[in-house]
Amino acid sequence: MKTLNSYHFLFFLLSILLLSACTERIDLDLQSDENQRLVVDAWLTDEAKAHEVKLALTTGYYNNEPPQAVTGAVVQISDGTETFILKEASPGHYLTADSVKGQPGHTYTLKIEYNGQTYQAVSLMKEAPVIDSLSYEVFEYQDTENDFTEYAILLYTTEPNTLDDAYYWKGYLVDAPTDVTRTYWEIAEDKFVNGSPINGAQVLIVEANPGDAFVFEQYLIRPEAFDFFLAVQTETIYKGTIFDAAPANVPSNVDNDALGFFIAAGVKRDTITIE
Amino acid sequence: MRSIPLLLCFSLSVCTAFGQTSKFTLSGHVRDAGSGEELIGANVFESKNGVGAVTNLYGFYSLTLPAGKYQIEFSYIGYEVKTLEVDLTGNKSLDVEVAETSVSIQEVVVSAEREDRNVESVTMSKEKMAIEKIKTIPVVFGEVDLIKAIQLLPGVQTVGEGQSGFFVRGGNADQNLILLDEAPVYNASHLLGFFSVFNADAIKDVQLYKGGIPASYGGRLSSVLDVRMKDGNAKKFTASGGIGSISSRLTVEAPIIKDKSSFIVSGRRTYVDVFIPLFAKNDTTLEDTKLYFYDLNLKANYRLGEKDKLYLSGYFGRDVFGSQDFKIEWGNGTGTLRWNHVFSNKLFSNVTLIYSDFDYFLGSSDNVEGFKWDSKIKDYSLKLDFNYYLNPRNSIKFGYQGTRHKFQPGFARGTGDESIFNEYRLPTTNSLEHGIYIENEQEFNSVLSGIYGLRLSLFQNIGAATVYHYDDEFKVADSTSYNSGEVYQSYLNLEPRVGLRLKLGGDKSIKASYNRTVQYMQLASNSQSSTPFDVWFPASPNVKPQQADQVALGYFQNFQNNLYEASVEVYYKKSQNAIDFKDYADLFLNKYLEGELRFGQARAYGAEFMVKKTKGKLTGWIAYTLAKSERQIKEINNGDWYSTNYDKTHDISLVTSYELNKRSTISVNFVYGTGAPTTFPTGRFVYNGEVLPVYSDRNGARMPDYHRMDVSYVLRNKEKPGRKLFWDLNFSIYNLYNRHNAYTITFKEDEDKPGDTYAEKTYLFPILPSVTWNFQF
Repeated sequence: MKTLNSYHFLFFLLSILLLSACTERIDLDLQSDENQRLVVDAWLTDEAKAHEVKLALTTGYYNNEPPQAVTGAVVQISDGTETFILKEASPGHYLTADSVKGQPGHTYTLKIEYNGQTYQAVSLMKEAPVIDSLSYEVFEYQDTENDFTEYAILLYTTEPNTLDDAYYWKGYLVDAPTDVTRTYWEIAEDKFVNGSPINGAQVLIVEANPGDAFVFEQYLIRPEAFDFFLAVQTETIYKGTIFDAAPANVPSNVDNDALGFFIAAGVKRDTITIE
Repeated sequence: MRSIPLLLCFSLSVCTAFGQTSKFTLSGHVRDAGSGEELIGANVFESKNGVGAVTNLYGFYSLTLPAGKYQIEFSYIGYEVKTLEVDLTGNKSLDVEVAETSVSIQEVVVSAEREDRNVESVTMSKEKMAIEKIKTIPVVFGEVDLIKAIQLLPGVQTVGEGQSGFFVRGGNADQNLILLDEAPVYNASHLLGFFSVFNADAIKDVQLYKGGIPASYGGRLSSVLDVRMKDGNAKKFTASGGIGSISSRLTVEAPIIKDKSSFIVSGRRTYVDVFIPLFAKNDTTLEDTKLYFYDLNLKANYRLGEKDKLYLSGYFGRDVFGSQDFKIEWGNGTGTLRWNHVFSNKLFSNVTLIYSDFDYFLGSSDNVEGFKWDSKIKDYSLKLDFNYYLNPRNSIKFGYQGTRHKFQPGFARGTGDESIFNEYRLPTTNSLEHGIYIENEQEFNSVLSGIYGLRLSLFQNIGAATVYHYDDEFKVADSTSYNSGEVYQSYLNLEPRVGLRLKLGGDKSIKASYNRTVQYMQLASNSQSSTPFDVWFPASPNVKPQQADQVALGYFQNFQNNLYEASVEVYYKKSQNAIDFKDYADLFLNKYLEGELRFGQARAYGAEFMVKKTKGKLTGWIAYTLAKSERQIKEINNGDWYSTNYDKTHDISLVTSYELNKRSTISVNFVYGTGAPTTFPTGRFVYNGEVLPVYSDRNGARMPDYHRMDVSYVLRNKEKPGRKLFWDLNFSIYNLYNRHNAYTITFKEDEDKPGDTYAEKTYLFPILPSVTWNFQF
């Protein structure tokens, strides 16, 4: 999975090597969109906890300020029978009650009322496959200039034999779960591995020192969410090569011209310590 | 009134019955005296009656005159005019050899054919470039490249630095029919598009049709690039070659049987990989890096007799890129077997068998994630072409072409013992493409000439196949399976082609043309540079063939006895069933590729201005194009018209060469073009800690303007009587004033200041000097 995705990288390497491609910062005036749009970052899983919905507004491209939080919105998630009301815990952050839990197989609707407008998004939750075990190996492309060594986290699991499953893998330092610089994520689809046992596939490349412990989470997501994350990658990490696809807006499953995504997903979790 | 006997003449027996007893036909070949190469587009002229003929693509001419004694002139630009006295008392065969005017082999001629071709010829929107001229144009890494030369012509656009893709009159790069000895070349580029597959040493003739496309060509909408390989020197052994900054070349030509049979072998290989260890001193992962391409052109011919000649030609090229455990390879192969037969003094025929393939391979040797992925395109064609020289005022061409296309777009599977990959195969598609055509070039009177023809094309999809049906949201709804050999979709199209030339006095003319073209094969490409993974896919029940109508009008004038040629052409082109891809289209190993396509219409229009100086110490041209190219697709950009990626409003090319003295020439190029359309952000948002852009309309913004100047200096060895070895040293500087032309502009988040975004420009070539040594003996 990793190798198929990384042809971008190999070609970038080639173009640097051969063509001495250079980059430089430039001043470029951009047209600015007057109209601010709602941005949604919402997750619901099958774990019992307070689930969070983050709401903000878009800004001008060169506006190097933190995003403007959306306050005073009315937010709820419902599967048609059970409804979770979210309360604003801090500006732009809305939380469910403490031990709320989604049910795999249920379809959830997120509803947001803000500034006289109603926004909705729908997502089906599916159960994530069990993580049989995790291991790691030193990754080939060692970064010798930093203190860190790069490790590949290897996953052992069984891919369910149903098409259109996709995965969101997340890894973060046990001690510092909120340290964004030590949080990693990757996505995959089952197109090439449907129904196969996965025995030690490289899922995340992490920078670590011996003794570091990582929490690894496997989310089963829908193909639309996979497309969304792929677009996020395309617009961030895969950018800047000469093979760039035409830029396009990252898709959204929230209606009424909003941006971002609402994801209902089953999750499984395990921990691995680098020795 | 002439058109009535013309129609009858489709049957050959009827035509002979029309032959008038008092008229006879002179026919034969015009060849180069030094090498025996047949000359394409040489002139045969009889001044008493003011009639003439032009040699065809195989150097054959036919001229019918009343019985009598004539002075016949045989001429070709850069060659001495040969006048022969002919006493025409019956049909006569006459093969003629003409000699190059200069002893120096480096004589530069900007245009081939006759001096007043610009004004005189019926065809418009056609460019012919002499290979010797192409060799003097300064280029990146000193690598002579005919596609780079073509990009300097009006109406031909390029996008991106150094790319060998080209866009003709607002048409996409996959709308160019690129032929090498009549075989289609599916991927005409090496090394990610920075070099073209054509090795100039092996090439005899290059013609580009931007409009007024003759009926004998079909299958692409926008242009035809017809490249013909040399036949090989039939008189003596010669070798030529060059040692350059990134590649070396060697060409050998020799007779097999003198004046009867000859061959040419030409090879080229790059050696960038030799330098990789220098870059990769401490990096073990780069040590085993392979990175090269090679080309091999082969051709042999055999003259069976006065009336028959056989040609066998082939091209093989391959790019290889790999590291320790990863490898990518791709390449084209073409093979052509041709048989020229002269049925009579008036009827020339050519039968061609063509094979063309393109394939790529991608693989990794890892035990768990090792995989192999390959893709192949194969074409088999039969082509029959006839030239019938009815009389000096009418020459008819007709023929048939049938092609079987077999596309295996992708087959991926795991290789290692513990491989996690299943097999994933994109279904093979089979299709047949047929075309029949007839075309007449007619001189109505001394001022008005015309060329009019018709092409009938038929495309058929053939099973076994599974066709997916898509719903309104382009999701797969269901599918239908077809048995092997079953024709499950046919498209029949009539393609009229017309051109007229009206002479206004001796050195001025007006020309007009109309042509309809239909395209059944297209390329799915998602990025601006050429990658071998771009997928060719055929028309199908879901993909209707693209169709274009083009009208063009031009004014042509020569000045000072053909010293200067000037032209202005305007064109308007409208296409139906134009294709684009949805946002974030998944073109990569996707069974449901057709669901990623969106269909609409396209239009392009523009004006092209060119002034060319063809003779003297200073030669060259200046070309200016003003153009627009747009597309409208319901699901893209809210259904509004948007600029294509290659819509360049202004495009200027200046190409000059100045002969300082007998030994040295200096050449300067300058190009300027409006920045290509692109999509820039108008806002941003944050998701999961990542700053993401919000874009406005597709291609709603533009890159900065592109401009560049290149120079080259060629020094030749001294001319001495009896000298056998000729060499030259070519020093060239690409991007003389080191302009950092933007290749891409990306918007990034500052790594040191999270949340801060900025624009970053990537440029490829700074000022780049190179040296090439060329020789010939």
